[in-house]
Amino acid sequence: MSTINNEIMFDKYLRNQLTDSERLRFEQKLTEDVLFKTDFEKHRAFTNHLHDAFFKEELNQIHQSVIVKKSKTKYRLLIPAIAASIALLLGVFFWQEYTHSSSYLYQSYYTPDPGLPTVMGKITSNYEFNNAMVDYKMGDYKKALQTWNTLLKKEPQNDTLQYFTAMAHMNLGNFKSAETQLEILKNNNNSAFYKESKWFLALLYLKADNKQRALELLQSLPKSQQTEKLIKQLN
Amino acid sequence: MKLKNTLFTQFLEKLKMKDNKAFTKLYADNFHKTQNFICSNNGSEREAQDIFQEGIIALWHRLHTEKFVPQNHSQLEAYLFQIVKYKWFDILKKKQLEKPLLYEERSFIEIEEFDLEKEKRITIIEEKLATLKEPCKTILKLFYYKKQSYKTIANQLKYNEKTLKTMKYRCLKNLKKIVNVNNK
Repeated sequence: MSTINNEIMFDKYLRNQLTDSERLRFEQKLTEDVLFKTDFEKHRAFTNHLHDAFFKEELNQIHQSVIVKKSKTKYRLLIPAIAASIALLLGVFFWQEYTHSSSYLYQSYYTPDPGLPTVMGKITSNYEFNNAMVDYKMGDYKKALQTWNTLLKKEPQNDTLQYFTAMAHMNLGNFKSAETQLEILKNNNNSAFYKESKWFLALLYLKADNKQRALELLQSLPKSQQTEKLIKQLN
Repeated sequence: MKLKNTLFTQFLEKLKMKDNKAFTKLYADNFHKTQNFICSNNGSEREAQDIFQEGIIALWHRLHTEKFVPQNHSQLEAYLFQIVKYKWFDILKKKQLEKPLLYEERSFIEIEEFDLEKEKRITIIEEKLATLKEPCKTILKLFYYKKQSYKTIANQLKYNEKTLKTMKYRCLKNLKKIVNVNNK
């Protein structure tokens, strides 16, 4: 086992912190003193491994935060919770007085869909979808769209894909493309995204200053605090 | 085009400095590809996670020492995936499940053989780190992972430099001891 002074010297040498003369003396000693050399090699190997072990620990934390371990069924249950929390957040805003311009209303009511938790389960065909969901959540909507559009070509009837491509388009400001997708979804009352689709479509109508169509859609939704409030403001 | 290059250069610098956000992005963008590859080649999810992380560390060493200087994102990501593949082939070879066909791709870039013994030692140290008490863990992390000076660490943890040197020495000695118990 090396002494404390030797160890300080080893670290300095490895960090290139020795003066030229110290360095020469150090290297001289390495060639002459076998024990010193063995100690040094052991220290170098161990501290290199230690560096990588800390690195791995950091990466494990990243793994936990990026590849969220949630089962697929759980996220369906989460959707009403997310919607409820959005409604709650909006509710806080509501009792303030608002101007009634359409685009102002759109701005005040539009909160992007936060996306689904990515699934780290068995390898499924969902892997590409989940990968793109990570892009979506990190705000790289373009990259997410590239993947989802390809998947959508293979499964044009998949409502999850339809919904999230629409959300990505909305976040990018491609309102026309978002509208086209949501128009399809608003007629599919079997979809888990039926209500959300109608809500966002209503906001898009509002954005286009088509208050009448927005109103019709909102009135077809089940009553909730946020829809009632918006309907009131439109009337 | 120029802007794109500047952004990539910045990203690369952040990776070299072990910036957490940069690694999070690299991780999120590339993990599923590795997972898919390893799980469809006789591997488990746990193995995919280990190999991927070892691949990132190997990539970092090559970027840090400038043995590999990528020009853009796709080069960087392709390189990472190559490392992962070779690592996995080495392990399959050890397991005697080698698929000779897959080996043909080996000539794509030159990467030395992986030292599986070294990876084992790193894993053992990593396990032991979890049992290491404070302030030892923080001191060792700041010194050997963040590569900070005694002075910086002493200021941050409010020790005097001499005390810190002794503490670091004892912490490392202690860690070596618990690691070696397992390793012999």
